This record gives sequence, structure tokens and C-alpha cells, in this order.
Amino acid sequence: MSKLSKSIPYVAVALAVYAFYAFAYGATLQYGEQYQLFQSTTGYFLGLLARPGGLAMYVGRFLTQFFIIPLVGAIFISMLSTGIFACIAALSKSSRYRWQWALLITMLPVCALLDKQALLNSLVCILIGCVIVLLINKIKQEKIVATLLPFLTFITFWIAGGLPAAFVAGYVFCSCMVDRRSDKALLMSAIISMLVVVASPFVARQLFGVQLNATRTFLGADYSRYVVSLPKLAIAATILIAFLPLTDSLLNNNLPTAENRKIHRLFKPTLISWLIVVLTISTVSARMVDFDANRKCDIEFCARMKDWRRIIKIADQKQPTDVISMAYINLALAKTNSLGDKMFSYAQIGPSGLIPDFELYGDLSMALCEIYYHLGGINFSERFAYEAAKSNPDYQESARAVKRLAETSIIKENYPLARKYLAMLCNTTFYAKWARKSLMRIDSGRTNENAEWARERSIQITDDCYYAEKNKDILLYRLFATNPNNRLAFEYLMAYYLLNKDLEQFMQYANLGGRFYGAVYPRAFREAAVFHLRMKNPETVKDFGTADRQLLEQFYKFGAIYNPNHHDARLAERFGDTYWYYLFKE
Amino acid sequence: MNKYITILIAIICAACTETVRVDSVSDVLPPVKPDYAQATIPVNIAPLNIMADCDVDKIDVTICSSDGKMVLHSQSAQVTDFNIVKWHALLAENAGKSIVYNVSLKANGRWTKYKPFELFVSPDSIDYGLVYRLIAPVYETFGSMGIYQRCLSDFEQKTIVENNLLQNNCVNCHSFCQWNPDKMSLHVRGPYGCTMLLNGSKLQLFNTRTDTTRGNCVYPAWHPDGRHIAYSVNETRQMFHAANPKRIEVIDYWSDVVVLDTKTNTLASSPLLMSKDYFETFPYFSPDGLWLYFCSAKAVDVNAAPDSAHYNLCRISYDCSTGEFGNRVDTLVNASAIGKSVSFPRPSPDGRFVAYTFSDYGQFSIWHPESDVWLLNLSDGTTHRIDNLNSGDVDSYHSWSSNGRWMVVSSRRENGLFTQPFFAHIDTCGNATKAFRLPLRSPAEYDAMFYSFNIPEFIAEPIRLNVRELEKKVEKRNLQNLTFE
Repeated sequence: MSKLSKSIPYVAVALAVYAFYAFAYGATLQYGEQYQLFQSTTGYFLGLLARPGGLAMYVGRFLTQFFIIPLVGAIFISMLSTGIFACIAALSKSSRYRWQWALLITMLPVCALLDKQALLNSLVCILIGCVIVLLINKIKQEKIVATLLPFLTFITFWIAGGLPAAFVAGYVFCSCMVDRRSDKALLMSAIISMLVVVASPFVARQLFGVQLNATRTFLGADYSRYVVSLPKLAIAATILIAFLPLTDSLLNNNLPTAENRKIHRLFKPTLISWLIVVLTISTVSARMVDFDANRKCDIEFCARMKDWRRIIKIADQKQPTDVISMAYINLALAKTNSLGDKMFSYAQIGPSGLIPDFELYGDLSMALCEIYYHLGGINFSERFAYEAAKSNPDYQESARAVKRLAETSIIKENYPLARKYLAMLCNTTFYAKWARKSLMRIDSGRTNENAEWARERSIQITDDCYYAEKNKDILLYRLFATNPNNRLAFEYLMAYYLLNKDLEQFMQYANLGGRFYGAVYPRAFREAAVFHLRMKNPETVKDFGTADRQLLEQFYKFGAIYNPNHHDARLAERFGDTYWYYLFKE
Repeated sequence: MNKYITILIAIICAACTETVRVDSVSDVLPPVKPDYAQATIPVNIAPLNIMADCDVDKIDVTICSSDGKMVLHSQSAQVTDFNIVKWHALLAENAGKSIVYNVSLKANGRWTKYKPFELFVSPDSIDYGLVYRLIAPVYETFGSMGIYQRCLSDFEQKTIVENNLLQNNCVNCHSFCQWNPDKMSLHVRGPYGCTMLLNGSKLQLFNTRTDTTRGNCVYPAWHPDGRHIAYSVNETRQMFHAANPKRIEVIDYWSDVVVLDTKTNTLASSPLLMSKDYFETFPYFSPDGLWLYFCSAKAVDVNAAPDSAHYNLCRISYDCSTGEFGNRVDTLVNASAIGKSVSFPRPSPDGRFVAYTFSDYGQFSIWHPESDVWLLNLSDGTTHRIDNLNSGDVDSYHSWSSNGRWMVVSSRRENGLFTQPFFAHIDTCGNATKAFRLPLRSPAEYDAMFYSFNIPEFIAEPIRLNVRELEKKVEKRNLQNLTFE
């Protein structure tokens, strides 16, 4: 084979992985990036090095920084995947099924990354382990291997965790089992190394004072933000790598011979093996892939980047109806001054889709942090940034949350605190520029030159009250009352009442919006008002202007179709984007 | 590992030391942090490294004894790194005298020598170490946290227990009997909740909730006899402020005070400490064990008005041999009469003073920027704010050293949010010298840290806790129940 044709499998894997993560699944990468704060400081490096799997985590986190730009982040996933693929292919060089095995083993941890909570550490750990196995394979003298193996196993454990250490020891052990001519010392060394794998977590905990539970100490590096979950696919890959010598031997023994050639011709084992591999990978990836979740991640990232129009575009294509996405869609509508006109063009899920109720998980806290930030509830935005940062199950700091905390501190003119956060961000790759610019603004007293900060500062609530989950309208009213130009707070107050179907309260405050709309209020507000006035006092319709009369006519048509006991598809079709439809639907 | 890297760096730096050729002399104090000028420090404290608070090429610091005989020198890019052995020799030689920091900074290739500043080295030593919890200044979600011990004569911080190990439950309220690390109380909160008692090598876990007490034991205080521990039992909620500068309000809906007899595993109290008309909290025994200090407020609807609870400083007599309480409560500081509130009473080891936090309302002064540490002189009933110890921001949780000459306080003075421990020398009249921050090897570590130093408590020796035993017992829910007498 020419060099070019030899490289085809590697290039194919690299391109396929890259294309998928860069173009089809990039938002999931961006989601992962926000929940870490990689700092290029000695303290950060040494802190990680002091725990099993620390080096792999350091590399994993370093590379994860680049996920903020999926086109770049995907390069690293692709490189790591291809690296693993090349290592496994090299280890199974003598096997007839080397490419199948290499692809299968590689794709297991790659598929694990389809879960948005998965960490890149898994690929780094497995690659480190594979490289160490390859190095061992390169050493021809078995006595040297026998001497080094237990140490290498412990080193692998310390830099990449228990799984790679297990397959390093396991691979050598299986090699000894397959190759009966192996040195007995090597077999003993492999057995000792396997004992080292078992003993290493105890050593780490007892001698090195590692304060993680036994499972996490064994795994070393975290494979998922949900650190308690077992990395099943990585474990499967570990087993496959450890048993590679055995499986290779088993399959090679069944190579076509004169006797079974017919059978081989009949069953085409190469084709079947490819089919099995492709089917396995397809099944695993189909179970793991979640394009809906990726879409939600996309909406989250757009909210983070304040790309409101793109959020609306995504919602227009296929609207997610979970609480967090809905809250971002409503925020995007409000930020583009179209909440009152378009909010019922999307399937609303009630007031929790406007301002969700707080629960102890990061994504929701982050959404609340964004909403209150734009509303002017800076103390609450700060609070929810903290809640988001501290909800991170693997206890990493969150770059997004720290950046927001820096902003809220600047807006509140607590510059010593802002400096602290900015100092942390200065040690990052992608936030350092922004942090340094912000520090310069603080130093020169020009923080108001940032239009957003100036706006938030001008609208932040000054009249103290307490956060009350059940009375968000009180807070919204106070935000509006603090600054009557706070259109966002007013529209949120109105939308809150509409979504709560509380038209009495809605009508009580609706007049206050005149400064924003003049005579023509947004459509949803008018629909609500027309309905309310018509139902409360039919006489008032005489005073309606032309536009409201037309709206009233529409309402009558709605009423003609609406039947509480019978669902009529025409209603959704013709009036699905009206407030009346939301009001009367189950 | 860190140690060796530091030594290596120090050797490299020593080789690169540049001779300072002063280009200009400034008559102002150098722009360095932390601010140690005119502070009084214990004779056995760890080196006080400083760093430039502006962009510089190099910092050069020479510390001289008052007679100019001993000299300690450090030059580096940003942060000094004084030799710890030489530092302690310098302090020992200058106990009761001053030492002088001579600082020169090199910026844009030019050296500027700044006005020297003095520190007074007190011959009063400070205890072996400080125990604190490191926790982010959290609202409801707490993330990672742990209890740590720090040797005050060097920079070594050792982990006692981290919540990673205990199913990510919250660990809090560490307390010691008379600075004795062998007698320790610690709570674990969450699904694996319990109270740990370490008594010598014996480690026990308790479920402190009883039918009578309605809740778990919370704020602990050991009796000097090492057998009894007073606890408050609180029903606590958090509320969140909308407007700057306050963030969080921690309020008690009710609270009582009980005493645990660790020999019989029984809780006892007095109707005067479990009154429905009053909230009683923050117990603390006097050094002779004859009095139980606590805070007490008239029961109010704190839900409607969180700022309506005002706590007084009270005490009740206690006989540890019989477990009996006195039949009257003395009000020592009637803060509610002037619309103020008292929390965290801490009698001095000689029993002459009671230090407490004074704030506008409520009991959780840790979130009140106006809170300061005050001192009650028990001999004449006078009170005064400990001026030099306090700052313009939160100065709340405080502890006395075993010799009563040092006090540590949790303060948010640096940035209004992250608490850091500050120490001040307290003289026999109860006056403090300028407070200084717990020295870290590099002051820059404070900036990189996402944690508050919570509940600083002095200890006389290192803690020897078998953390594996604790982990196993917590996992197995190996708890003992208490009964209420």
C-alpha cells in the first residue's frame, strides 16, 4: 500500500469526527466550555497534578477551552480520536480485523462525548493509556518491561486514572497469556501491575491524602460533570483494549484455511465484522446523540452571546418547550422589543417559561442569571451566577459565571470584588482580553463607556425588597417603578400576568406602558385587553378604536369556533398565535 | 512537591538578584499589598511576604531589625519570598521591638526607593494553628468545601475533611474544647447529615434531632470540662436582598439552646433557654464553666419583617456537676433597647471580657456590612468597639487565642464578599493594634481563590482525625441517637 492509501483510514476518522462535532454538534461543545475556568497558573496545574488522573484532566480542560469555537474545538476531538484509532490499529497490526477493532474502540469514548455533560478527559485518558501500551510494545526486552511495568502502571494511574492503568496492565497480562513463550517474570510483573491498579486508589487515599471517594479515586479523572455516574463506554473501551491480544489471537486463529474456506466464502467474515462494528457504533451513537439537547445548547449559547435574533430563528425552525429554552426565547423576544407582539406565536408553557422557579441546577440558575441581569435585578443576577457556578457537579468554576460576576460587581461599583474576578479571567485564554480591557476601564474610571454596564447601572433596583419565588410580579413592578424607562421590566410584568391568566392585575398596570407604545399597544396586550373589557362590560366596546374593533371581530370569530368540549383543529390553525388561544387552552 | 519547586525557584532567583541602584526616592509608603505598616505581629507568625500593587519589573525588600543588625532580603518579579528560618530568627531576636521594611520597586527600568514602614513584633506568641472552612460565599448551592488546618508559623495548610469525601454533603461548625484538637465537634449537613464528635481517638456520630428539640443541633460550644457541649437548635431560612449592598439575610424562625452530655448522650436545657417567647442562640461557656453566655431576642414574625429581631447578650449560670441551670437570665448588653443586635459572644480566656458582634438587627451578622466586633468588660459592664480590629465592612465571626492576646476575625473588608481572617493583638485593657491578614506564601493566592475563610478557630496542636473512619461511618449511617432529659 502506498503511504497515501495507508493514511486513508486515519484521515477518514479524523474528518468524520471533525465534521460532526464542528458542524452538527458544536453547540454541545460550547455548552461544556462554559462550565469550566481553565487558568494558566502554576497553582491550577499543581492542584490538578496532586490528584490521580490530574494530568489528563489538565490537558482535557486546556483543550476544552477551545470548545467556545466549535470549529477549533472539534479539531482537538478529532486529533484525540485519530490518535486513539492509530494506537489501537498499531497494537492490532497483525490482526486481520485491525481497522474494525480500532474503529469500534475509538468510537466508544467519542460517542460518550455526545452527552453534553461528558468531559473531554475521557479521550485524553484513553489516549495516554494507549500511548503507554504502545511504548511497552516497543520495548523488545521482556525483562525491562517486567521491571518497569508496575511503575508504569502506577504512573499511568496517577496521570490518567485507573481505567488506562487497568488496560495497560491488562494488555500485558493478556499478551503473556496469548504468547506462551513469554518470560515468566513478565507474567508475574503483569499480575503485580494488576494488583497495583487495585491498590493504587488506597495508596492515593492513605498516603497522598486524596479526599475523594473510592470510585472517584480509582477513576482519577472525571469523565462526566456528573462525577458519580460510571463512564460505561470508557469502561467498555478499557475492557476491549485490555483483551485486544486475546481477541486478535482468537480471530486470527480462524483465518481461512483449506477446510473452512468455503464457510468463509459463504459468510464473508470481513463484511460481517464491519457490519457488526457499524451496527454497534450506530446503536451506541443513536442512543447517545441528542439533537434537541444540542438545539437547547445553541439557544443557551446565543443568550450568552446576546444573539437574540438567532434564538428567535432557532425557535422558528423548531421550538423547544422546556422551561429554560422557553425563558430564553421570551428574553430574546423582549430584548428585540417583540415580546408583546409575538410571545403567543410560540407555545407558551406558563409563567415558569418567562421566569423559571429556582431549582438547584446550573442551567436553570444560569438562565435566571441572564434574565435578572437584563431586567436590572443585579443582586439576583449575581446570586444566580453563584448558584450556577456552584451547581457544577464536578465543582469546577464556570467561566461564564465568573465573567457575569465581574460584570455585576462593576455595575454595583464594587471594584475590589470585580478585580478579583477579572484577575482570575486574566489567566484564561479566551476571556483575558476582555478582562484586561475591563480592568483598564475600572482603573481609568470609564466603566460607563460600556453602554451595557451603564444601562444596567441606571436601571438596577434601588428600593430593597426580598426575592420571593411566588411573587415575582412584585419584584418586576419594583424594577419598573425604580426606573419607569425599564421597558423590559414592564413587558415582563405584563407578560407575567398574561401567562398567569391574571387579567385584573394586567389591566391595573397596562396603562403604565403608554410611554413605550403610544396609542398602539403590542398585539398580545391588546388581545388581552379587548377580551377583558368585552367580558367585563360589553358596553365599553363602543369606545374601541378601529384597530381594537378589528381585533374584537377576530375574537368573535375565535369565540365562534371555540368549544370547550370539543377540540377543533381550526382554532389552533387560525388563532394558535393569539392570547385567547393560550387563555382557553387546557 | 510545591516545596521543592519553590526552593528551586528561590535558588534560581537568588542567582539572578540585581543590585538596586536607586534612581529616585519617594517619601510615600510603597504601593504594596497587603498593608502591614504599623501592624503588630506575633513573634512566631509565618513570613509576611508582600507584593507590588502595580505593574513593576521587580520588587526588592530588605527587612532590618530596629538596631539595624539583622537583615533579611528578598528580590523578585512581583512577590517577596522570605527565607522562613531567617525570618523566625529575625522575629525571635526582635521580640518586643520593631522591624522595618525597606521597599524598592523597579518600573520601566528605574528603581524607586519608598518610605520604610515598621511592624511591631509582639513577644506574645500565637497558637499553633488556625482551623477554618473554605467555602465559596454561597447562597443556596455550596459546591466544594472543606475544613482545613493551617500552621500559623509557616504556610502549610492540611485538609481535615472535604465534602467530596462525604457524599458532597455540607460540612460546618467545627468547634474545639479550649483549643484542644482532640476534642472536636463537626456537623455534616444533607442526606448523610450527622454530628461528629472526636474525643481523643474515639470518633462518634450522632443524630442530634429529638422529639423535644424539633431540630438538629447547630452552633456548638464546648464546656471547659470537655464533657458537655452547648448547642443552639435553630429553624433557619435564607432571604435574598434585591438592592445593593446587602445580599443575603439568614433568619431564625425560632431557636433554643441545649446542652449535650457526651457521657450519657443526653440533651438537657432550661425553660429559660427554650422559651417560646424568645429566640435563644449562639451559646458559649465562660472559661470557668460557671456561666453560659448566649444571645436572646424577643420572638417576632421574622418572615414579615426580617429586621425586627434584635438580640441581647445574656447569660445564665450552669453547674456542670449536676447539669443544672440557674433560675434567672442576666442581660449583659441590652442591644435591643437601642435597636441593635448582638451575636457570637466569645468570653476571653481570662474571663474578663466578652467579645461579640454588634449589628443593626438579626443574628447572622456575617452578611451585615455594618457588623463590628465589640468588647464587654465584665468587671464594670462597659462596652467598646474594638477599633483597630474592625473595618468599614463585615467584621463578624471572631475567636480568641489561648493566651487571650490575639483575636482573629472573619472580615469582608478586602472586597465586600470573600471573608478573610485578620488578626489583631489585644492588650490587657481590651484594645487592639492594627489588624493584619493571615499571611499566605504569596498574597496573590487570595486573588486566585474562590473561597471564603469561614469560622476561624485557633488550635493548640494539629488535629489528628481519622478521616477514613469518618467517611465509613458517615456512609454506613452509623449514628447514635440522643435523648432529651
